[in-house]
Amino acid sequence: MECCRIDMIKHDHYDVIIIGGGPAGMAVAVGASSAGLKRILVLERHPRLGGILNQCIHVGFGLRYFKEELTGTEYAARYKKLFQQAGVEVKTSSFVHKVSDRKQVTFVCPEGELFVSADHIVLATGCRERTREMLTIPGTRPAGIFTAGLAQEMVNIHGILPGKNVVVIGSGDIGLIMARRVVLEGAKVQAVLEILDHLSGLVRNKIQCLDDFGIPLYLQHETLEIIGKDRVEAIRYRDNTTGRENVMACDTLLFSVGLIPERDLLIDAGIDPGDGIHVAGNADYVHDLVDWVTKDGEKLGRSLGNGNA
Amino acid sequence: MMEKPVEKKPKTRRKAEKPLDRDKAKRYTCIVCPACCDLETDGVEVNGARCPKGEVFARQERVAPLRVITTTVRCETPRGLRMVPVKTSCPVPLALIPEVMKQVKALRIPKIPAIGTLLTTGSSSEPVEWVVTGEVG
Amino acid sequence: MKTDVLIIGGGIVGASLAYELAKYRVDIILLEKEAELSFGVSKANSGIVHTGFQSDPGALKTCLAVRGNELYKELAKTLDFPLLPVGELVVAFPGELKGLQRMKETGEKLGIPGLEIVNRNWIDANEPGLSREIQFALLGPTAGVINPYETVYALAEQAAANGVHIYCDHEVTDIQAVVGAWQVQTEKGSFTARYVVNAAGLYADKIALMAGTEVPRIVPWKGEEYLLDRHAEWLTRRVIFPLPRKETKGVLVIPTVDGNTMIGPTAEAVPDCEERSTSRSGKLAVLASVKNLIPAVKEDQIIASFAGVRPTTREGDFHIREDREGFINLVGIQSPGLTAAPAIAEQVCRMLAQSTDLTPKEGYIAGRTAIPRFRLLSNRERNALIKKNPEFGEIVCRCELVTKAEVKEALRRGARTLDGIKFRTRTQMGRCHGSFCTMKIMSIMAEELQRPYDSISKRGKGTEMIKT
Repeated sequence: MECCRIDMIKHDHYDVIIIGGGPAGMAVAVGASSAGLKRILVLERHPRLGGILNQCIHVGFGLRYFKEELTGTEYAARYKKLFQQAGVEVKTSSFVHKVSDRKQVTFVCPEGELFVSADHIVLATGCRERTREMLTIPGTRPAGIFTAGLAQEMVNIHGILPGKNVVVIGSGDIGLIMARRVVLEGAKVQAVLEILDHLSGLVRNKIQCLDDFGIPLYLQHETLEIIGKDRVEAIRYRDNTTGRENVMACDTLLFSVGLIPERDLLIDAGIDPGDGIHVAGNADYVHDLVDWVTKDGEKLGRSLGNGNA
Repeated sequence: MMEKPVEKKPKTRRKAEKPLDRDKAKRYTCIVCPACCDLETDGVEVNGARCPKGEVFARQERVAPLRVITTTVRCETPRGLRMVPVKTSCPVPLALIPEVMKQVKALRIPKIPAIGTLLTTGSSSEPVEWVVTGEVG
Repeated sequence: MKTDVLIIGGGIVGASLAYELAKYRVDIILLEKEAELSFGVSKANSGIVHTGFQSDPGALKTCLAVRGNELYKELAKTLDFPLLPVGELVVAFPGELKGLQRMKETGEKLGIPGLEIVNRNWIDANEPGLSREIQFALLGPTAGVINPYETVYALAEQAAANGVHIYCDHEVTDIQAVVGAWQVQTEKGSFTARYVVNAAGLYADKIALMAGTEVPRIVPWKGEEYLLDRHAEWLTRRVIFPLPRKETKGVLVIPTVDGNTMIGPTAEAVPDCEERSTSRSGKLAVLASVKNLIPAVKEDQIIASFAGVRPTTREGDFHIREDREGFINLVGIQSPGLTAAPAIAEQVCRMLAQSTDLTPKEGYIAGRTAIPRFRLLSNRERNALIKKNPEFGEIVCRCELVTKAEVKEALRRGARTLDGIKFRTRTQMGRCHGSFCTMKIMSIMAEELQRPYDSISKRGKGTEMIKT
């Protein structure tokens, strides 16, 4: 067992270790601190806190929690202030890759690979996106296929527009938001194709992202094949209400086909939540609004402090 | 594990429906908050709004839809390119979005501004004010 | 540019030959048409090092496969690439025992060690996932699995360290015989060589034609493969084969080096060497075949799929011949081509030795170390690496636990595309298929290679990530 160096983290055992410094993790920390817990550690893999909010430059956040319409980035900055007031220990650029049933956490950072344990471990690890491969959509594997979240990172953090002629597959919120985003950056969005018979995301996003820009939403449309040797050239799809197949030319596909709570740490370890192991935020289930993530997270944090967890 | 909460409907009594001039009546879904009320207005009266903001929205939407624009502004720093997230301080006419975007895309800022900093694009006669919405490293 | 030996094609065969020839005092150039080595046929290979008893006993390919199998263990150790000695099992359904026995006899005649027919008791104890209908199986313990691309890079790095010049993005467009040599033309320049070895895989017949030689025509056969989630772990411990048919070894269950089970391939004639699409029918066919062997396999375990194309010929055997003086054609090197590759390299060296002196190279650098695989190291090893280089403490790929230092090392060793980095480090190969790491890797590439983002490609020209 590797000794923890004093200058890296303060203790080798904590009341709570929170894996993830996004909105859920910060909220659990705030709640736990308010309930009197003293030894709280947040481990965040990025160089800064905020999680996915750091790439959410659009509005729609904070209407419930702060009673104000904020961008994701504003919400992160605003909540970070509350979090910093809680005086909780944070270690960024620290990637947790293992959790044991004895509530020991292993993480990697530029100073080394360390072990640290706690009475309570909270997974606030958000979600991963469902991908084309997971759906095994047949066809080729050309360049030009992205998940909507990856495209969001490319556009908003790095100023890169991945393509010019886009089709969005899936009507999840991230796809709707990115449809608008890429149009604002000069791309054309042909359509959003949704396999189900209803919109997956929020109605207000459909209006502001698709209707405002004349982007059609096709329900009950199934993507059958991706076509293109080097770059995406088209998709073959079927209108499941009529059975008719057609081809839509494009050079970029954005997949917004669902979020999967990120629980690999527990799955790999073969452990379930319970008895000191908790899941918060989107790692628990996909929340519609970050405001609910914050409320739930603070509630969990307080219950840890009150010994009710 | 928490139950997924259902969006609670505000506890206002359902307002009586006002008669509308059917020739001028139009329907909108309100986008002001996640409640997404179904609105109908003839430009004077508004039905379906559960709060005053919805009524304002419906009337405006019928005349000239306004939207807050969110985008990023390029900032070349010695450490490399940084994208600074911004939003318009006030909603902008939907029809003018392409022109406004053209202007903000041409904007170059010399160093990373603090969150809350105000920026201006457009002409002095038709300025558009933006506010920086994120902390950029 | 002038050289002694020019190898056309940087797949497993070309790389094996470059590695073998580099032991001698000859100048060698290898030309690869794609952006990186193995990007033709080899990257999509199933990765099985066969025992050899599955091929036609009288054929050249069989003899070379048996010899190749013998060479792999030492090769893997010398070049530090993973070779898992999982063994192979040919399973028999009721009525097929005679076929198994015939195979065993054939194998024994070929000198393959350890062949054994096992029964239901053995299967229950050692491969409990197999269908209960399977009564007997033929065990070939000397088979193994490799990552074909990883092996190609290992061979090439060793060859390059010993003086072989490797040029990617160099498609051969014309070949002329000149006095005592061959002149090989590419868009990027021309090369003159005393000897040319055509290891061009899917295009070996086209290259042969350029040199005025007649060889069997390449008939491309596509194979789709499906990878299962590592959470499902290996469904079997060994490579599982049904009894083979004439056209194909059948749909197999393959425990891969990295822990995912792979199922496939299909076998379908295609009109075009570049036809690499996967299909719904292919997936269903693979699942149906594999369910016969392993009832527990489920469609929702599939996390990735791809297709490769085999360079088959109607003749069905390897064409390894000096068809014109100084011009050696290697045509139709499909299964068991990967297994046979080290032996093919030996064979070509023997052919060259007949007309030229192959004297051992002085100062030959033997042995090579792979890029450290952080995921596979112990805590102590990890900390030692991080202490020397803090970039081993920066995780870039969350699914496969790959560090920034590994990505940079891949670039240092010649990776120039996202796929090149993928095949050298396992980034982008995990559950999230690059949705987390792609942008991070692009940033590292842009910085290290000093290139703009819009020049960064998935696998070479035309596959740039950004469409401008």
